[in-house]
Amino acid sequence: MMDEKIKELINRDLDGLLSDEERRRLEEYLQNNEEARRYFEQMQKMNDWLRQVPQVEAPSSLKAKIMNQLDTRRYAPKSGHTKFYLGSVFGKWFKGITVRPAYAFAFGVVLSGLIFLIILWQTTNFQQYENLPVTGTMKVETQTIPIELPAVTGKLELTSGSGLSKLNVILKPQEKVTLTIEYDPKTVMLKAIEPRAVGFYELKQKAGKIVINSQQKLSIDFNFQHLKPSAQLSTSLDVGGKVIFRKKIIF
Amino acid sequence: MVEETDNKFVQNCLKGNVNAFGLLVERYQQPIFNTVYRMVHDWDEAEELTQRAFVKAYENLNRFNLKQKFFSWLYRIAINETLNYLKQKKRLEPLPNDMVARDKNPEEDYRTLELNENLRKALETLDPALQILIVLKHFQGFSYQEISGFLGIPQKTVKSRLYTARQLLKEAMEKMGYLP
Repeated sequence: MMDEKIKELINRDLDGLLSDEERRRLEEYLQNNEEARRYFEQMQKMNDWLRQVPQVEAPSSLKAKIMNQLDTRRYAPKSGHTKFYLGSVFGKWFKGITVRPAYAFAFGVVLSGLIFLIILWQTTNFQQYENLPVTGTMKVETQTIPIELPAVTGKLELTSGSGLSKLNVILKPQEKVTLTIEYDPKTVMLKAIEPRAVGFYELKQKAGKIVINSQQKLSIDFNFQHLKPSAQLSTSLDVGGKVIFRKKIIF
Repeated sequence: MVEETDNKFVQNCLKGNVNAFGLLVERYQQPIFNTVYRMVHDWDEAEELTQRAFVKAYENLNRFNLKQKFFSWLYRIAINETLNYLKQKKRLEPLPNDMVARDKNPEEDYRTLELNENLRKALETLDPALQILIVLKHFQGFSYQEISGFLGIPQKTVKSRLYTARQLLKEAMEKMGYLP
């Protein structure tokens, strides 16, 4: 049985990787071992045969055949699809995000539809109420909240019946006061603001909040419509940022 | 540098210039075809497999890592295609050796040489995974490092498998009476 190390030396010799020292060792071994010599000669012969095998020429039509099979549009720039850069509209959080205009348009349509539905749902509640035929008796009640403070006197008078209310605000301020009226716009809707007296005051109104700043006497009616019996208004008065009066009024 | 221009061609191709891929085909069709041909010993099949390897490389070019060598990556695809083909062929057509389709290249003198014909018969007795090592090392003259890159195995494994392949090839030739 031949030594595996000698077989490795012979293989390395075939690869031309032997050092001088290894070659000397191999030659010495081969001189004294007939089996190894025969193995070496066979391997050398086989190696010579393998070396004689010629290279073959690739068919001349090969390239054309390959090129014909390629999908030329695979990596073509998609010039037909303009990109819409979200970052340019929505800022750095969307930087680098691009969408096709068609998708952006579709998204816009869906979003608009959704907003429309929300608005419709909000108003429908009141519309349903508004369209109810009003027949029969109507119980009207009044609640008066007097205001007797050093900075301001007056009253808040709420007259309500069958979902309709009128809040009459009368204030006689000694200095500049701020009246804030807050309500839940889901259950209460402001229908009208009616000034009752000549005067000068600031009035800000947005969904669910009315703010009046005044230094002069004022009298204003606020007409509300409310859906729930438990609907309420939160009122407060402040002077110089300090709250001096707070009251909840349930319709 | 060949590798740099290879990468340039790849990048140009990915930008939509399909002709850049044509340059890669021109550059590598010869060694790929040679290797495949020496494995399958059939002119038409070798042509078909070479085409398949290039088309596959083109289709997956966007996945190619530019840090790799394009040639190694392409070679690996071609070798895998060839080995899969041989595996399938062995399963579907278990023909005896002397009935397997032969070389159709009329110009090549390899077929006419009895010696080479015998060498081919001996080679066909080897498992394709060992055959490929003989083809890459002895017919194509690649280094252990290059073969390791093509096959995705360590150089040590390449070396030991090549020794085994040589040993088995020698034994096959001996059995056939071609070696004294």
